[in-house]
Amino acid sequence: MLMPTNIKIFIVIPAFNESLQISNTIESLFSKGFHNIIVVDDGSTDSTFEDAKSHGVIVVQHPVNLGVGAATATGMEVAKRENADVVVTFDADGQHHPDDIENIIQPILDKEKDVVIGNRDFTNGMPSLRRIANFAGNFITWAISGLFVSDSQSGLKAFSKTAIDSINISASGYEYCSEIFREIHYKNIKWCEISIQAIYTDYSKAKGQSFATGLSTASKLVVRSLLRANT
Amino acid sequence: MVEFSFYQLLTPAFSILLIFHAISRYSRSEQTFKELLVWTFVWSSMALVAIYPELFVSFAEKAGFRNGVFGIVFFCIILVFFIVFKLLLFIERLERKLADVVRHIALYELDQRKYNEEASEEIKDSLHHR
Repeated sequence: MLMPTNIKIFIVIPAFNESLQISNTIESLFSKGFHNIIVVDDGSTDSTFEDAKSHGVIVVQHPVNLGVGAATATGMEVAKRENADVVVTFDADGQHHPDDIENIIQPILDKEKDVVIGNRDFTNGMPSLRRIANFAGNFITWAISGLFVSDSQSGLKAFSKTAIDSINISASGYEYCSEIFREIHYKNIKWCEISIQAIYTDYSKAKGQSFATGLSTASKLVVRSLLRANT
Repeated sequence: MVEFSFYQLLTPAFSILLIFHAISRYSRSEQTFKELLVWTFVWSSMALVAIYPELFVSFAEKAGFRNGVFGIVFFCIILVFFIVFKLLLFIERLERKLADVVRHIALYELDQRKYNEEASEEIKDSLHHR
């Protein structure tokens, strides 16, 4: 597919201690013609910031680690300042395939949808404990937002300009995934899911959301719901 | 003469100390009036229950508890849950504020870097044209 040149597509990569993989991820995006890349170094203690910067992409650095939600929100903010038409969030750990970006932005370019979620294939090597955690995440997302999604915790998502302007991410950690669906539901944003590939290497399996962080995410979501009721 | 046990003397003394501490914090504007009222109510109740346990026991029995001790344990657990809940909300609010500050610093530093890079490019250009 030939990318439209008049549309500004920005790729936001939240990264925490990803020095082993960040260069490969950026290079793979370059090879597919995506040059507007924003890396948000979320308080890494390794050379993630320097490695990302050496590729000439926009790099924002959180002085301390906040979590993937806050890093994504910062990346979105930078994309907004750069007048992005489409923003794609992309995991730094190499589990996404850059070819999928073209597929997930198509409904936005066609002006049919404002948010597109990349739906990973769980049968293709995803650890079973991670699969259970993912299902629990989907269930909690449904309880909070009223939307049942096949892969609420997916890192590959695409947002139109309208969606970027109206979605407000206030959660710092993985709970931002569920928060996005809450925003989609309450703000009547048009969305859809599209199947994507997931590359499970030992590295990407070690990264991402574990069962323990899943439990912590769930408890934070409960507190946030109560907080919303109290403010 | 009424005899008080050690804990019956210690609890009111401790309560009075904490109420005075709250008043002092309120006078220094470190606490809101609502917080002062809640604090005073909680610690006065503690002191009252310590001095006149039979008051609470009869109240608990009227409320349907099998005996006063069950009532005290029940209310204490509710109170602890309430405090934990309030603390969680407080931490959550602090986390949000921290995230706002960190993100603000990150964006500010990005702007500064961009400005410095542009300035150094301009200097290079002007040197090149000389």
